[in-house]
Amino acid sequence: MKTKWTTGLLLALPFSVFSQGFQVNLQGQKQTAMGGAGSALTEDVSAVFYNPGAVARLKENGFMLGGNVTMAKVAFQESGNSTVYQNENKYPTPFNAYGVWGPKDARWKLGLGVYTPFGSTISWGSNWPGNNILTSMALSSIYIQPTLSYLLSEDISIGAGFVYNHASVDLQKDLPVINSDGTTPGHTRLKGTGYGMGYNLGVHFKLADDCNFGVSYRSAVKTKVKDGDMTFTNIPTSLASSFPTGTTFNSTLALPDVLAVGFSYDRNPKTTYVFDVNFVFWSTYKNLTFDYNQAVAGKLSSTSPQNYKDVVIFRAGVQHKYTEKFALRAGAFYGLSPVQDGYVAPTTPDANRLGLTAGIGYKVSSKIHIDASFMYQYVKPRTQKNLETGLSGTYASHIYIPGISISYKL
Amino acid sequence: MKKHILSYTAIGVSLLMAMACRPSLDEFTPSAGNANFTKYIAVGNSLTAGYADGGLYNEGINYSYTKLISQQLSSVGGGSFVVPSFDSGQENGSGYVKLDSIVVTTKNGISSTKPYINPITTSSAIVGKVSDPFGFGVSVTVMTPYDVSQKGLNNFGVPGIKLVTAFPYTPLGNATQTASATYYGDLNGYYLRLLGGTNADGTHTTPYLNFVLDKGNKNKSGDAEPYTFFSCWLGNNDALGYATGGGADPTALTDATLFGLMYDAAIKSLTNNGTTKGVVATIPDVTSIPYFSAVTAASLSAGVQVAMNTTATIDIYVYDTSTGGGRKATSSDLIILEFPTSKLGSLTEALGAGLYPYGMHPSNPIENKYVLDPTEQATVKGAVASYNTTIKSVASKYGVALWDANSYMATLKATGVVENGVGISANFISGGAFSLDGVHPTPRGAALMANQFIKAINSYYGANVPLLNVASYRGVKMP
Repeated sequence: MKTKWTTGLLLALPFSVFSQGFQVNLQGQKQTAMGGAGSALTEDVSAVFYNPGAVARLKENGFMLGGNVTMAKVAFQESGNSTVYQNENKYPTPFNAYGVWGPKDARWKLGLGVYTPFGSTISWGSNWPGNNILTSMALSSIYIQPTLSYLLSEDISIGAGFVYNHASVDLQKDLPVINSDGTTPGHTRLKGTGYGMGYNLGVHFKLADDCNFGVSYRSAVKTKVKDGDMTFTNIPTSLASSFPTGTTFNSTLALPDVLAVGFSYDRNPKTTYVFDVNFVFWSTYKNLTFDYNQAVAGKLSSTSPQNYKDVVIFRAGVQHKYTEKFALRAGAFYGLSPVQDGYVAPTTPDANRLGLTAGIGYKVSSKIHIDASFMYQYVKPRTQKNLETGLSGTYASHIYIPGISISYKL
Repeated sequence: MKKHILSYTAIGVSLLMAMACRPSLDEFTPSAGNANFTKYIAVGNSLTAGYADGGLYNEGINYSYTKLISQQLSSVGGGSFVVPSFDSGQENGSGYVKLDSIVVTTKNGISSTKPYINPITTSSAIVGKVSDPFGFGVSVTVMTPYDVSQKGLNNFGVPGIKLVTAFPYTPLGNATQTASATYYGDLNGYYLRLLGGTNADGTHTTPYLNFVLDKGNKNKSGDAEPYTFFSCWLGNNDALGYATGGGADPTALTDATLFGLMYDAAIKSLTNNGTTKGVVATIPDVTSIPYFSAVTAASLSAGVQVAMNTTATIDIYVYDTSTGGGRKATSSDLIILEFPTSKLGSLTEALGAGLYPYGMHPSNPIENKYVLDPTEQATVKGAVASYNTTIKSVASKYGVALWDANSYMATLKATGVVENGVGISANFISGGAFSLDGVHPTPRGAALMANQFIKAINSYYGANVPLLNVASYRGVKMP
């Protein structure tokens, strides 16, 4: 009956950080092999994503199935220490599927796209200095996008799509509480799914026989995660009321809007150059808030400032058709990081990045095409102290992404 | 076509090999700077020794800030660091306390929280107790002796030691000081143990500082092997004893002038007159520790309300030194962690005015020894400020690194710190930095201290001693 003892105060206890979801720019093997540029292209049905306005210009109906394996190798070195920690190998597989259909010689086409434009998987395990911030994260979003495109004139086509996003989050970290046996740290996991809606718009201009121009806009998609489960393990009995069972959470993922402007130029019938600029409006992502159905460590919600900024990504690529059947592609991009100084976290070991890409295309028959790409991303080493968690150190990443797709033309 | 297959295979294989490449980082090169950590010794009190949870036991010894520093020094040329662990079977040393449960009782919307903290006495190294051998009013707990000549010693921390008991200081001609420092081995069981003593029999007359300078400069065989680096954190107990005694005994506070002279003499010896390198630290304001913040007048009042099942206002009364009577306690009165709450409300006679409920009536206030009132706080703060002025100037005079522990602990109390996502504060139990005695650090708190010492060393000696991941060390073990 004597002591002032504040049960809840284990500062910064609830999940304080999470998110960005890297933007995943792997929605077509041809574009991916050309630095991710493709807003002006009318090469295949992945135009449903890259520019709905270009869909009506596609010569044939068809569908396509593709996927990639993302191998991110992330290293972390804490400031003032020699030890370098490497993330654990986890290989998420972003995928995409498109179908386009329209009556022969009609001015309109219908399209459907299923693709994964945002997502991130990273796992650090418990043996690294940020284990009380993050041990693993898997964030994925699947966009389903029905699309209608219309040829306004010989030179101009437009398109629009509706987007339904199904997202899932799974975040885990250790808690700095220790049982009386002195060995087992606490652990918590946030797991939930949610949905959001948005739209796509695009316009495509045929400037000349060898020049195309495209603009597409993909709206922000506010994705609400509702009644996700927050579970706690290895919590000492005396703290059980601070980390109650049956805790659920709500949160909102602010997936940003993207404006893409692209240009393509056919130097000759065999060689095509493409250029794109993407504007990604991350600045809508100010805070990440979790609301709990009951108090966790004395709080009904936790808010973590993110303060992302808008960024630009520059892309360029080239395609060369060696033979009727065989094409080679190459490209590069340079993207600025939306994460400002002081906000770099284990969930988002982000920095400005350079991407180098290459790929091949092979026509098995007039109907079946296979495309493959390989992307390498060099994420510049970045030394940061996170304002919220105090974790201070240098992150560096190499990302390798092979991918393949198969298309069938009707 | 064959050529194509070959080149595709080559491309494929090299891509696969490239994909195995992980980024490398090389942002930190350990270095000793212009210091030499070959032989590091640690001088100080209970903090240095690794005392925690109200006792000296092996886990605490192995997670003392000094042991943690020595581990980090190993990558910059540091040698072995021998700590005086207790033998197997006696690993609980002096015994310590653990948290068995926390009980929250709520009645009429008023909550009272009580942690149940109980002693562990098994696997003890205690062999006997000598009651007040020399009339200093101190009982000595005798433990199994530690054999320095056989095992060696780098951590010389002795729980309870003050600067004034570290060596006899004759220039000021204080007989009590001289005697208590000379016979310190027979007055402090922890020191007696390091001296190899089996009884407080008046024969252990090696003053502490002499012991450090002797053993610290020799190897196990007794040959000369001078230490190359030292840490010294002495002086905390010169103020702490006065404060934990509720300010009831003014003589427990070391005189600031004597402190100044003795600190200079101690660092002069330890640095070999400014030639040997080391690190020292200031004394934290003793009121920054949970020993003085865990129990408050409000928490006592709530406890009584819950126990009596009432919402009526309960006033707590404390003894006022200036009036010699009782007065209402305020939030400015610091009540010590060890205040026996069972006394509250018991009908006893205190100030010769008849029977009154203890602590709840002006005629029977909580005794002076349990309360550090604002006047006493000012006294101890003044003394600490004066000690710290001395420590800073002496550090610069003899050219040793300095960690300003006082300002760091003030921050820990005021705002807490966040280390790799883990909030750490000076709150009792939940803060994570302080062990169950409310004075000494947990391993997490010790790691915080070690890092601050290392930062001071790095900056003063241009060294790159790697830092610890504080978050990976435990706070209080929770039931």
